[in-house]
Amino acid sequence: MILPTPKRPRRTEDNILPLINIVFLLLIFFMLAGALHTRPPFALSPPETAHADDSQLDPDLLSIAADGRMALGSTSVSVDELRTRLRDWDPAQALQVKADAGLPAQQLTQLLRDLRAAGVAEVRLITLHNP
Amino acid sequence: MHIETPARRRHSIGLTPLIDVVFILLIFFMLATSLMDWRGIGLATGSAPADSDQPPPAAVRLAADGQLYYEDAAYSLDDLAEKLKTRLQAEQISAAILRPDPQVTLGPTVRALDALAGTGVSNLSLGETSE
Repeated sequence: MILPTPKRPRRTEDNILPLINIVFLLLIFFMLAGALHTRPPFALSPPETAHADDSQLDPDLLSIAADGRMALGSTSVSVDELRTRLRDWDPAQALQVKADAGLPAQQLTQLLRDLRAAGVAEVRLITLHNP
Repeated sequence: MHIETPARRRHSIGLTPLIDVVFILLIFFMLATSLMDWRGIGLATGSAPADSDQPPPAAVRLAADGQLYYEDAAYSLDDLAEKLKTRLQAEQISAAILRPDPQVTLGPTVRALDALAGTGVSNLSLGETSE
């Protein structure tokens, strides 16, 4: 005797499972591939390079806007504040500087001199990779 | 006749709140992470005393029109990279100092620094124009 199998109503949970799988995969991708950074309180577009080395951003990097405003991490600083904040900077460690491509280069040169006075021996200029 | 109905799966935790949370996490990570490829150029601030055994650094001037001047001759980026590469191999230079003119912004400066880094010069620095 052949019995027709009773039609099981498709449950919504069965429909949703593939969707959840994909959402989980996306979540894991963004968690692993992306990096969370502190953001300066102004917009800036760093210059592009092709030969520079790979770099992981430090949370306390120095950002400089095109008009010369500066921020250490996510807080705005003036040159004097920067000097006091960098007082116990480890000289062996490079200070990361992310500056806008429109900043006059001489302002950065001036800043390098200030940083030297503050005891920073090396600066790492952060750029975007453009192969 | 008795037909066994399959035992219903039981979800001890409701699936819908879980999906909500995963979606919120996904949106958070999508918005907060950046997938940019950051690079870094090391710049010496000039605090370390120059080693007298080392050959002198090459001083390159970057004019506002993008022309590079090295030892009173004008070069394009590629020509200067070639020139410095041969100089470096002959151990006539050990480092390079880029001196941008007052009107130059960071974009062209970093492009020049990038070309200098591509020659294999390990010690780069920014300097002020002497004039």
